[in-house]
Amino acid sequence: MTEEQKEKLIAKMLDSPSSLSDEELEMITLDEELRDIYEISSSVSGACMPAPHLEPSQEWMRFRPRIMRRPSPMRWIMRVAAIFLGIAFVSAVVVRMIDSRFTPDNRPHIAMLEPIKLSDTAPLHPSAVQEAAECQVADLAPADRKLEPSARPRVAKAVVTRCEPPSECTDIDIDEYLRIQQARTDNELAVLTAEAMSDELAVLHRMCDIAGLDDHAVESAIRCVTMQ
Amino acid sequence: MKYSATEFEALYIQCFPPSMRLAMSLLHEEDEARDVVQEVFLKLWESGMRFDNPLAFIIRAVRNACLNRISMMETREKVRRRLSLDSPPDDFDIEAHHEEVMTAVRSLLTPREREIVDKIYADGLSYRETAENLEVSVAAVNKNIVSALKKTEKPFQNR
Repeated sequence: MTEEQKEKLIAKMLDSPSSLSDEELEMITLDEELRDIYEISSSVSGACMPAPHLEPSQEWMRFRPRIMRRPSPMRWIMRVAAIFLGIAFVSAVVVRMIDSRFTPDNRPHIAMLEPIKLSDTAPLHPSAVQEAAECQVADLAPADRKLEPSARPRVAKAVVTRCEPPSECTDIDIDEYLRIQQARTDNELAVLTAEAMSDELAVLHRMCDIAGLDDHAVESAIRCVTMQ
Repeated sequence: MKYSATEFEALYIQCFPPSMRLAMSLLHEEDEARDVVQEVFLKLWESGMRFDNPLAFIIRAVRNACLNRISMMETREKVRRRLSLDSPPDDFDIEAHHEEVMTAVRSLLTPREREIVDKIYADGLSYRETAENLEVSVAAVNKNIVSALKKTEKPFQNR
């Protein structure tokens, strides 16, 4: 670079720095003399920079809306925390609802909906069972034989010996519940069968009385039929 | 403990002018300087902190914010604004340096050179405008300004 070129570049650098090309910028940064002149020019520029005309009260009025417009970080953090707490609360409620609906431990027991007492499922008394077995002979009566309606009113026999009811209803699971229901159904069938057999046996005895047959003959007849 | 709005207004009115002068001397642009100073005051307000010497804190924060902005500028932008291409050291006192430069300008330059420096750097005139204003040639303006800069540079050459 000649002295003339350097002087032109210095003039351009000091007078209109924004019009410098990339090559000229590179030359300035690489040439020590140009770089020194540029740096002192920069220092003088900074030192001679006129103090801006400031009116502090007006500057405050210009600045104040920026404070009012921007929420403080603490307020923003509080807002985010509130949102998280809200989400956590709603989630907890939903989880609790799902849990209470589907968790076995919290499922309402069938026994609670329909309480079953052990007294309802008491075993049959042995005498009742024996009586019912004896009444089986009623099935052996001829099908075409007309039976007179029983003069005696139907009185349910106390075929079941009730146990003492438990002091409180205990909760049971589904298998136990089904077993108890089955036992209760069997019990009711046995009671009904026993009542029917009893009535038919009474009718049979009455017919025998009418026919003049004694009890011994009736029993032998029954036994004979039973054997067949 | 946070400043109240009244206290903060008083603090702003007290600290804004020196902060603005510093930002202007570093960035060489008034709008950007005002933006930097306001950002510093905003951070102070949002931090909710109180300082024993708030002016020192604000001046330091403004200085750092300006230097951060300069460091992110491209070379072309720095040259356009006549900003230093070198990054100053952390303990560099920019205001003391400017004071030394002004002392050198006042003591080492001739009246004509001081006049030309004043027209170009303080008033922001171009060579042609300065030449017309002082009724000299553009070449004379260039010759005087280069001479003035070389004289001003001498006290700082060995540092």
